[in-house]
Amino acid sequence: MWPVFDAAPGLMPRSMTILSLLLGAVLFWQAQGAVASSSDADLPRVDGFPSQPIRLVVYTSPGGLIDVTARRFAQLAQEHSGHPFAVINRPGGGGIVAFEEVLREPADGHRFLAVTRSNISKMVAIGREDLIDRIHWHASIMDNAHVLITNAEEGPSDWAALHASGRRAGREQRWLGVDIGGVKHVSGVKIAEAVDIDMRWIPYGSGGEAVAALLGNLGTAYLGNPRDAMMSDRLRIVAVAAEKRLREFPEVPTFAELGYPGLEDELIWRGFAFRRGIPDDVQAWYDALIRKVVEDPRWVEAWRNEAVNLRYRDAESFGRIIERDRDEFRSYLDRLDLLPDVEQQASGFAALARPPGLWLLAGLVLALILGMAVLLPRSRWRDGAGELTLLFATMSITLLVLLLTVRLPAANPVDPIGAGGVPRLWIALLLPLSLFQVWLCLRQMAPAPGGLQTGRVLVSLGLFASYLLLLPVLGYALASLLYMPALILYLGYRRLPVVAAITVGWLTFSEVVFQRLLFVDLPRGWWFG
Amino acid sequence: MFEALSAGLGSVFALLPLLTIVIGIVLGILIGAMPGLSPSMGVALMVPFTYAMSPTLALILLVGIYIGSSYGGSITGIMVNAPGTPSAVVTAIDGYALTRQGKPSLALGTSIVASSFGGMFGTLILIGFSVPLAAAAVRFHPSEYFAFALFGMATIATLAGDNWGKAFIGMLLGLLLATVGTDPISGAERFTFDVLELSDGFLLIPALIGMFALSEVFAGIEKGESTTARSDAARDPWPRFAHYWKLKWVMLRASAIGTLVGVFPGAGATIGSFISYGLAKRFSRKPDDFGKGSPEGVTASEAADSGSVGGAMVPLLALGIPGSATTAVLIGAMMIHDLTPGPQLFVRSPEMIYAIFGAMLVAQFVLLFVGMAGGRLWVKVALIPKELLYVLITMMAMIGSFAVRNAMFDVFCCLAFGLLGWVMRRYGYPLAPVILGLVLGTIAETNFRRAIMMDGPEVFFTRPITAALIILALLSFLLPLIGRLRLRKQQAAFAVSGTGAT
Repeated sequence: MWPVFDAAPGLMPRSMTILSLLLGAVLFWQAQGAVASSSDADLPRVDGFPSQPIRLVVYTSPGGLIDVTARRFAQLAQEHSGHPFAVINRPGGGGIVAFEEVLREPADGHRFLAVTRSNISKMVAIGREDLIDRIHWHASIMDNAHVLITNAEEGPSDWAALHASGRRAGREQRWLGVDIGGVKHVSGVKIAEAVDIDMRWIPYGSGGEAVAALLGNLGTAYLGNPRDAMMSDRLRIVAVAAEKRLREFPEVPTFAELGYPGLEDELIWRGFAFRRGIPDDVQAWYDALIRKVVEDPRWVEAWRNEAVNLRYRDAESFGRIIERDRDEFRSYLDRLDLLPDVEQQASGFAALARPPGLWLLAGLVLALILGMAVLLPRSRWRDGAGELTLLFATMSITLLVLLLTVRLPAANPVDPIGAGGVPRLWIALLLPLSLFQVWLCLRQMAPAPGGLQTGRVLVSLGLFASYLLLLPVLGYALASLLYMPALILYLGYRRLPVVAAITVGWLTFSEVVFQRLLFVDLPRGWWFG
Repeated sequence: MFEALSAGLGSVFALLPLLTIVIGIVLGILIGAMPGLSPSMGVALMVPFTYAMSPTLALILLVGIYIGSSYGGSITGIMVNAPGTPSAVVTAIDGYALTRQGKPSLALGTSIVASSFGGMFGTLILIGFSVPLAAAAVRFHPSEYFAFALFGMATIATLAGDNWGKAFIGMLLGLLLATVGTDPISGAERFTFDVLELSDGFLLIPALIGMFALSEVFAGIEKGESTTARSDAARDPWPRFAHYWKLKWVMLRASAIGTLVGVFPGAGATIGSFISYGLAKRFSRKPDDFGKGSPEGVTASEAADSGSVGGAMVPLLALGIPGSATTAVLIGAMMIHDLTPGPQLFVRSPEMIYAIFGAMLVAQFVLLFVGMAGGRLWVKVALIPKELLYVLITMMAMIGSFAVRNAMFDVFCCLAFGLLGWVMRRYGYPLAPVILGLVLGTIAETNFRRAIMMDGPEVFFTRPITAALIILALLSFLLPLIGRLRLRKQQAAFAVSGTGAT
């Protein structure tokens, strides 16, 4: 990259040297960590495994309990195996994105998943139970009971007060939580039914937001993890959905003690899973490693005051739990009307909002937009052709989206706005405003500014789009090696040594920083590996 | 408290903590400057490096990264119109305009000083008022969050310039795009066309990179901009103290807004930046300069952005709950180091809390120093021939979008947003309103529906803060519009009378 700066001598100031030194210091830290680790001879030897850093894929953003579990595990696993472990976060679709990523990779054991019970509820809820079957649920390592938490200063002081307030005639009790149709929602529904409380579930974006709302006395209770209550002395656990009382909260009764048996398994488990088909010896290696980590005194100590039940379950026992959970979620989500309605045959107007009617309509809209883009510049409205096409595209797509809102769950007493309410509101504002803009455009059409080289943009765009399409085929390195010089030369730059330096410099930078340091797996290509 | 704070500051003034702060700030700036890496991702990436460190040192490093990356996003925004973080979108509006005028040093200098000032202000508020502020923030009803979002949307009136209707269309488009994905209340899939990657909607980072960076490249190629046009920019002088002094009130107001907005869990730095920018324009003596290269605009956005760091730490330290995506990662890091975040930390490890406070204060000076030194390097970007810069930006766009979750889908989304941005730019549609809609859409919708679920629609009229904020937002929307209509009438009347006179 340095030849670029040839024109301006002295452009490598002291600040750059300092930056390099600091970065070097960080890399040295990392190297120190790697050298300090030592392998454990007790792990079974597997030929050719592991041959690269092992990725532990977490399905949430960094910071949650499963992320902390994965990072603590990776730290000890690295020490016991003497091999690098990297935790990578792949949030999206309640875990589907992470699962799909692991399923895309070879079944060689270099990539595995940190999983929780939430994954099962999500897959059932969105009709992707196939993912449950394509995954090998290897081991569960811990669980923690769900607890009902109240505001210690302004809310019910104990279970009796909470229950009495919930049983008062005509009063719906507000329970705060996360995710409609998620594990905690289903547990909340089960608990409310068992204790005969008319409960309204108020979903928040995250546990933290829900706890904040509870501290602000915006709900009566929060259904969450015992750990949530440890954050503040203004939170109090009033009941535990477990077999035994929690060691950290010995004064809090279980639901069974309160006279409501059958709620002993309202918990969230955490464990590990692989793509099906990894070799038996690799599975045995993981078996030994996981056992070593969970028996490590540092692991036990790290979770000592976290109200967590460190319970190891092997694949067989874990598999039974998965099947039980799957059945339970199917049953409850069906009752709550939260399962995808795959059987229902849409008819009439609604049929257009589903494939294949939807695809036909989308194709028609696209064809119309393209037609406008071609015809308008040849019409008497040519001066405003571009903006008119943009507005027409906006309105057409908006109308298509409006049609799609018929597929969404309708407003109901619990959610009086419904999933389609707000999009319809934006559409109701966008459509007339776009029409008004069309009117303005037709009234004050101004010719496009001269001197624009639109053709050059279209060719550059074509090059970039071709590069993106070729990436999965040729791989990142080769595709970039073709694309970068091609675009630079097309744009008119002719100093070939600089072009070569820029291309090689960028490829080296992206390989070191993204691939090696940040574990971004750039496309490898179908042919070139 | 002062003894504890001075002890905390004292413990920071040793070689290792100071070096850790410097490393944190430098890495943070680099992370923030790289489109595709958000502050929360940056902090998470560095967590494994802290395993061998003491908890205090680990937190100092991570907080340093948080502070550095909150500023770093503005650098690429100012230099190449590719904001590294969503909140830097607002900085880029005037920052990049200044760069185009050949004044990148003015933009970078204003940005770093405002950022340090905002960060310092936020830290002092955190030290002095975290408990009462957190207590007030948790009382905010969803209706108030909705009104807050609406107030943020009112910034559209200031972003619009002469194109009020076009800006409004852009924002509504952003709001509509924000509804794509899993409905946060019912859990239903909305407008995803059964595409798995859309289940979480359009990710902000690819949208941001496409909308700003790629569209800038396409527009530049279309205009055939030359290399030499910007070579003078590298010799633009760094601003003097008098320049910063003139901006003191803007800085103070923006820092206060950023800090306060940051305190509310889930609100985020981006809303603070937009609101601060809107108010700065309203109170400015030169409102017409906004959007065309106003140092006040850069100050308003950057001071609010950095102020929000101290604000977001308030619920973390006072209540143990995350105020932002980055503080959620900090909570995880604290747990890894066997610390329980929240008020109990003040009781169990007060020395650590005050060491963190001390480190945050020192970090602002380090940020200022490193930012100033680095600024003289960033400004050299203007010397890179455009043809090379364009290609590098497209590569950065590709890799930055891909890095979010290793998916080519996000790269294609980035390209689609780039195309949309280019076309919108071509016909005078401002881009920032689209991002404003995309950022505020989910906050506005979920809180609107949650408020009605909890207390019915009347809640928007019965809660005084909600009602006041909604009225303020409506006035902010309508007053500029009415003013513009009046002006147009006066101009028309003047034209008629002028014609009559001749």
